[in-house]
Amino acid sequence: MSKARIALVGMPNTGKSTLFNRLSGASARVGNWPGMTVELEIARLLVSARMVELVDLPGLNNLHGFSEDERIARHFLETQSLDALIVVLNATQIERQLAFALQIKQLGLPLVLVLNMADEAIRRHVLIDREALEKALGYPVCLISAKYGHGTQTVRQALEAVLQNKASTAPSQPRATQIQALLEDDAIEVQTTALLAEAVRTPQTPAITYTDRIDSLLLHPGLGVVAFFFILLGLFQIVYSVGAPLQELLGEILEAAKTDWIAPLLTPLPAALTSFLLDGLYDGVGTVATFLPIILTFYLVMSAVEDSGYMARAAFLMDALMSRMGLDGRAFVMQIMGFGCNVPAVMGTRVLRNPLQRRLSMLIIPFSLCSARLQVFLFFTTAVFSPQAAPWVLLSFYILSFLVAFLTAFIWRGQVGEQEPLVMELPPYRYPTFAYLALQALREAGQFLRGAGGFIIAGVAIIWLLTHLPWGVTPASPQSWAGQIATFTTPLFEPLGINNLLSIALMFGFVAKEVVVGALAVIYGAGPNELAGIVARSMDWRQAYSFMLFTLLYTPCLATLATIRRESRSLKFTFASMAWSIAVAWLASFAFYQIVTY
Amino acid sequence: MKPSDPVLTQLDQLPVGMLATVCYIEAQTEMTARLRALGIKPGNQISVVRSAPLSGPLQIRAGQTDIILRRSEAATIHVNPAF
Repeated sequence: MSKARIALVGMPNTGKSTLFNRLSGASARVGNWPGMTVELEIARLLVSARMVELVDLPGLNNLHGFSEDERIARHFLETQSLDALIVVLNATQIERQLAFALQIKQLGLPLVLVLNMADEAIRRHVLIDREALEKALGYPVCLISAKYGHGTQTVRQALEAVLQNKASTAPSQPRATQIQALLEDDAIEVQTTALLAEAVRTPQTPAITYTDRIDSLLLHPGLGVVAFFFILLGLFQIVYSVGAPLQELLGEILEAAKTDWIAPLLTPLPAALTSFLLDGLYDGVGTVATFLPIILTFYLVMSAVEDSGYMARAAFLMDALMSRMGLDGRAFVMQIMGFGCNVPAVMGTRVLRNPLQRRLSMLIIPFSLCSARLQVFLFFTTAVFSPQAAPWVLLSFYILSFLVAFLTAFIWRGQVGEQEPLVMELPPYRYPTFAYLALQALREAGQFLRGAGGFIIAGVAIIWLLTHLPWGVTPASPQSWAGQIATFTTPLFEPLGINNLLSIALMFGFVAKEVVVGALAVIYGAGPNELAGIVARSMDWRQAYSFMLFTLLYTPCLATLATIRRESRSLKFTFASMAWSIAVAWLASFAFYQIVTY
Repeated sequence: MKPSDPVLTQLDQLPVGMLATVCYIEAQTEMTARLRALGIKPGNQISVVRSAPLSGPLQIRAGQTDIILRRSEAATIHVNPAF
C-alpha cells in the first residue's frame, strides 16, 4: 500500500507537539518541503502495516491568521497533498476552540479530533460528551492527555479507522479557494453553538484555581517583578553551575586525549601536518563538543520554563520595558540567559514567533557578557587593577553590556516594522515532565551539531592557518599572516590603545573568548604564572580597560556566529550583525581611550 | 447596543475584576479574527484580571482562557460593564 501523509493541526498551547512526540517516539526529524521556506518536524510511523508520514504544523488560531506561524501552516495545507488531519484542541477550552475544528472540517479531509488535556478539563468541571460529538461530526473523537500518555493509543486506532475508510476523497476544489471561502464563518458560528449546547457543559464562572493563587504572587506588580529576577537568577545559576563545569571537564578530557593518545599516534607525520590536525581540526571539533553540555543544560531549564507556563508570565511582566525596543518580554529572558552563554540564548529566540523580532533579539544577545568573556575580564582586572578597583571595573562591564544591547535594539527597532500586537494566551501552570524535557534538549543539541558544527570547525582551521603560515614562522608571531594583518591594521587599533600583540590575541578571540588569555601567553612567550606580571608591566589601566571594552563588544565567538547563521538562515544578516558589533566596539573603545588620555 | 450608548467603555478602562460583555471591536479583520479565536467576540463575557506594571499589558479572562493584551489593543474592544 502506498505511503500516507497526515498533518497535525491545532491552536497554540494545545499540546500538539507533545502528542507528536508521543506518537513518533524518537523517530522525528526535521524536513524541508518543496515550496516552503521553513523546516517542519516530520516522523514516520506504522499504522496497521502502512507507512504514515506525520507532519507537525505550527500552531494556528484560525485559517486566515496573520502571524508567521499561521502563514506557514496555511501554506502547507494549501499546497501539500494530504490523506488525513489530526486536529488537536485543548479540551478545557473546547468552548472557543471547537469552531476551529469545524473550520478545518470544511477542508473535506478525513480527520481525527483529539481533545487533549482531558484530565485538566475534568478538574475544571468542563464535561464533554465524546459520543455525541463523534456522532455530530462524523469523525472519531479521542479524549487524551498527551503529557501523561493517556489515550494516545486510541488516537492510533482512530487513525487506522480513518485511513481504511478513506474512499476517494480528493477535494473537489483546490483547498486554497476553500480557505478563502472560510472567511465567512457565520455558518460555522451557528454550528458551533449548536454542537456545544449538545455535547459540552462548562461551569458558568471559572473556579479559582491554583494558577490564580500562584499568579497573585508571581504577577504582582511589585513582588512579581522581584520574583522574576530571583527566578532568572536561579535559572542562570543552574545553567552556570551545572553546565559550565561539565564544559570545563569535557575540555580537559579532550585536551588529555590529545596529548596522551592522539599526539603520539601522529608522530610519524610531518610536524606542520600534525600541528594542523591537532591544533586546527581537533581543537575545532573540541570547541564544538564543549558547547554540548551547556546547550543540554540550557534546554532542560528553558523547556521547563516554557512548559510550566512561566515564559508567558515573563512576557507579561517585562513587556512595558521591552515593547519600547520593538521586542517583548520573552526577549528579555533570552538576553539574561546570554550571560551564561550566547549560543543557546540565540537558539532560544525561537520562542519569538515574528522573524524580524527574532533577528532584533539575535542582534543584541551577542552583547551579553558571557562566561567566556568573564574569564578574560577576570584575568585582566586582577592583573592590572587594584583589588579594591577590580570588582567595580567588572560591574561597569555588566552595565555596559546591558546599555549597548538596549541601545542597539532601540536604534534598530524600526526594522521590525510595525509592531506586531501582543495577543498571547496565558496558560495555566503545568508540571513539566522530565522525559519530555530531556527529549527536547537532546534534539536541540543534535541540531546544533548538524547546523553549526561544520562552520565552527572551518573557522578554527582558518585561524590556525593565519597564525601558522607562512611555513616555518613562530606561530602567532609578528611574521605570521595574523601578525602581518595586525601590523597592517595598526592605524586602526593605535587610537584605541591596543597594540599589535593584543590585536593578534583578538583574532584568537574570534574563535572563542576562552582562548584569548592562552593566546596571549603564546604571543608573549610567557609561562602561565608569568603572564599576569608581563601584562601589568606592558600596559596601563587605560589600555587594559580599552582592550576589555573591545573584547566585550567586538564580535561574539564563532559558535555564536554559526548559530546566528543557522537560526537566521541568512549569511548576510550574520555578517551584518558582526559588522555592527565591530563598529560599536571600535567606536566605544575609541571614545573611551581618547577621552581618558586627553 | 449602539456605539454611542453611554454605558459602553473601552476594555482598557474597565476596572479590574468587573465583568463586562463585549459589544463590538474596532480593529483590523485579522486582529478581530484572532481575538475571536481566543474567545473575545461580541456577546461573550470578559473581565480584566490584572494589569502589568509601568502601563504594561492587561491580563484578560474570557471563559476558560486567559489572554495577554497590550492597552492599545484593549482600547479597540468596546464593552458593556455589568453592574
